[in-house]
Amino acid sequence: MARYGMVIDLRSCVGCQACSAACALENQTPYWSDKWRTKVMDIEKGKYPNTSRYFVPTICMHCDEPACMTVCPSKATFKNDEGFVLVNYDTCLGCKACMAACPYNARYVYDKNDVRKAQEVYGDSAQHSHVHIDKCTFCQDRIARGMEPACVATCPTLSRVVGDLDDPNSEVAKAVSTGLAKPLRPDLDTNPRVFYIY
Amino acid sequence: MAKPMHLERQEAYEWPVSVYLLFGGFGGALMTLAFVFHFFAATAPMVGLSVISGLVMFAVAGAFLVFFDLERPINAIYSLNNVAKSGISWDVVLIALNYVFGILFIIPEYAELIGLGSLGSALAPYQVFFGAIAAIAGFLFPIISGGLLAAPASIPLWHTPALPLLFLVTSFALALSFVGSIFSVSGTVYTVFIGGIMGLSLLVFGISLAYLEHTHNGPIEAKEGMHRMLKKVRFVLLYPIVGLAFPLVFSIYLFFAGASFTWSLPVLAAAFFLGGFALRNCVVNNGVQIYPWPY
Repeated sequence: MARYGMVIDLRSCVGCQACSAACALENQTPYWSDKWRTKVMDIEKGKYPNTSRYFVPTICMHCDEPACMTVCPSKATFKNDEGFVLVNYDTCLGCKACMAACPYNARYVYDKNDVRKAQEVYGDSAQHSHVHIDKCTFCQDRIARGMEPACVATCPTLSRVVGDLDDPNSEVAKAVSTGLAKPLRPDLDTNPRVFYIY
Repeated sequence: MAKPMHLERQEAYEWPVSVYLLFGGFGGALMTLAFVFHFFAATAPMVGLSVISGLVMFAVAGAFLVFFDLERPINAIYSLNNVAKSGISWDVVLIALNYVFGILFIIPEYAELIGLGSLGSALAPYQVFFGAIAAIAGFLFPIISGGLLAAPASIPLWHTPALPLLFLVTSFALALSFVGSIFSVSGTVYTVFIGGIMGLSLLVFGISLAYLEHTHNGPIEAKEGMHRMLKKVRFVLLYPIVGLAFPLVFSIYLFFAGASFTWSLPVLAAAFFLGGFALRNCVVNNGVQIYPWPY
């Protein structure tokens, strides 16, 4: 079984947010409430005249040791066989313990208003009919069909690459093994599967 | 436009969680005190009242969490799926233990009164055992529920063992002054309550300093959280002044001057209640996060 991971190259990210839009269309995330599974953060560093600007696309890190899964009282947050951290919408209490525990701020509440709005916008094809805590699924359904996640497929600068971390020939594994790509907050021992090049 | 990256208030917990922490801790402390009272003749009449008050507080705490905080209250039935690891599952277990063993603990006291004399006689030999279980569960509740905030490293304002300790000791101070208030209705103010409150106030003071030190020397998010708390008048007025300095100074005065006012314990209980709520509410509200950006 492949151990999927993602590398995001911040050197080439231009902050166009095509990833956010593609994800919202693919997964029907509540863009009307400004809630996103992947969003692009904007960093300004330094003081005039020595300033620089960076874009940091954020996403669920699908950690090998996810803090959100440990605290979930109903085990609604679980890891599937491929190691993707997912949410069982039927048993989620909406206690938000996972939101508080996630150091990457990757979750949000898909609330009653969002469910109602989704019914208005998507009608019978609405994917979300329950209130729950929502997060990135790594587009596992697309992966299962041999496709890339929507954010990866749409990135115009090819800043995002997905691949098998256990396959030494994959681009992702090479970037990680050479130390070019690094995880965020490795000190927390969550072992994220998303790495950044910066 | 991309989102500017800066310190943002956490979006997970709102004010109902602070009510849950306050009333749950209060209830747990009452259950533990009830067990202690059981062994002293002077305080024995307070056993039943403390247990019943404790169970009422747990009911208030649970109701607030289920109806005002959970996004899907009906799914609370799944909350015991992860007892091995989840603090929320543990909270549910502790509340259940308090209800079961707290009621078993006081049945022998009231068995004759409610026409269950034979049941009372059957349970009487195990009364201390039942009380001990309820007391331990009650003692653990403020620690575990405080640990819900303190355990994850994602919000540094909360990420310290001082926080559950602070919740524990303030809960006991509130519970002791509450029970003492009921005692003082008869016109007698027992020095043991004043002495206990003085000791707990000193502990609250010490742990508050430790918590302040954590925020002062901690990550930028912890400093920012405390900075935001200290800018709020209701926090500064209700916790450091009303909930901390006043009970400490007043209890020291009452204890060493031997003063005895029947209104003193109700006033102290009110101060601890207001201070305890302000502390929990402001800590919950001012947890701030920053995305762990790599630059």
